[in-house]
Amino acid sequence: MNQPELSVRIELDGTRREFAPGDRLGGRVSVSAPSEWEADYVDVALVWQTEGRGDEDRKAVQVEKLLEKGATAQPRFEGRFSFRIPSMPWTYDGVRMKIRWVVGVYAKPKGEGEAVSEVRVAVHPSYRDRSMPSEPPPP
Amino acid sequence: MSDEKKTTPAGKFLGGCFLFFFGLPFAGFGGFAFYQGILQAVGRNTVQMTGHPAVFIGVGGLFLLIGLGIAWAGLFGHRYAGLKRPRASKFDDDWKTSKQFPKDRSKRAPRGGRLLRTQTSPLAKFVTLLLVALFWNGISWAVFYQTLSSMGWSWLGLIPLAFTSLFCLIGLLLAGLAVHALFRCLMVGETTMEIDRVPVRPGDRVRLTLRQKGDFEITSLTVRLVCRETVRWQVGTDTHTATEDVLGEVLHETKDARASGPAALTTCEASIPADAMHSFKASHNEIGWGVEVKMDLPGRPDIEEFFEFPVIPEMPR
Repeated sequence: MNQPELSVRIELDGTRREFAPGDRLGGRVSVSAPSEWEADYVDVALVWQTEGRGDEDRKAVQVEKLLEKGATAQPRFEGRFSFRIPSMPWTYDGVRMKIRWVVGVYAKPKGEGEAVSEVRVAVHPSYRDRSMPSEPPPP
Repeated sequence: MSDEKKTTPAGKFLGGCFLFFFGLPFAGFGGFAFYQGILQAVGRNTVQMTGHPAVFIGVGGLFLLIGLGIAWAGLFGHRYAGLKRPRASKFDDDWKTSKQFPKDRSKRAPRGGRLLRTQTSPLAKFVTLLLVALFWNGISWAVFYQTLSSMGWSWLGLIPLAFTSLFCLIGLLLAGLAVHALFRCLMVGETTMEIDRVPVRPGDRVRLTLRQKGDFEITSLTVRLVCRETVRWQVGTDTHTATEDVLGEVLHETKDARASGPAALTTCEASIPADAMHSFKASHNEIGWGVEVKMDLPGRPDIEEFFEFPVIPEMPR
């Protein structure tokens, strides 16, 4: 199968970009291509990563696999996701290091490069939205 | 965006070549010494050697194994590079093993609080240094003795002697550090820090009690509450570390104190700021909370200890 170039997009529900541990973060992703294509993977992930002088540490704390390896995708593929924000680490802006959170879609057709779209979010207990009931933070 | 660092095929090849050629001299030297040691043991040695055959067999065998291991890693190590984590997806299952919070290493104190541990206890430091110094000096001095006893008295013969002398000097330095650590254990008793409760959360106020075993004068004593960022990065095969105290609040400072056994040297209170970051630990980046104690002691090794405690990611209730 001829693998086309992908166009990926991620959108969060609402305008909120700051979340507290235990909050729900939801949204949708869309992956567009000129024709059908075979996937290596299409993942949506909630990721924290460090920035600064030290080597990068990075962890995907929650992942939703939208397409498994070998699956055939239609030219326009859409999917929804929902994550629960974990208790830690909080977004941090230090002197030698920073901790950032991103939610992103990572799509890779077989034999081709990865297409990525990410949205930066912030995680801290002080961002708790009092108007919305939130789940208790995970242990 | 890449989830893990990739090494190019050329980089893998060069790394493999480096390891292979780095291991060969070890294996060659070790194999020769091992073989000659065996020949000497059975009385059929081809090279005139002084020294016990067991030394040649032991040290030579060790070097042979190390050299062969390094050379083998250079030739075949790349085959096993990715075997630990077969990746079925972009992220695999790495979110199931969260280890981003340092363990609470405190233990229960006799008076009801918690005793904080230092990063490295003086005894552990002494034992580690002693073992390293014994190992290093054992090999260095054995090689130095063999070189000295078999060398020809010419300028050319002095080159291997000068080379082995460098290793012996490093060995002496290690032995000196081990002796210093021993003095720290014998002349200055254990320093303990007790905290009234663990875990601690941002906004909490805790009570700290410092005790110092022994009976001696202290010229100056400083106790600080510290939030410390530690970052590590790799340049080639070297790992560099940098620390930054993002908070360093002096809790207690005094001149002319006296250590007097089980009695508290000082008791102080510390407040963790409400907007402070919790403890965090990853492979290359850490945020640690603790109490730093510095004591200047006349005629004894000075004390500098860091007692770490975890600050948990919870807001004050």
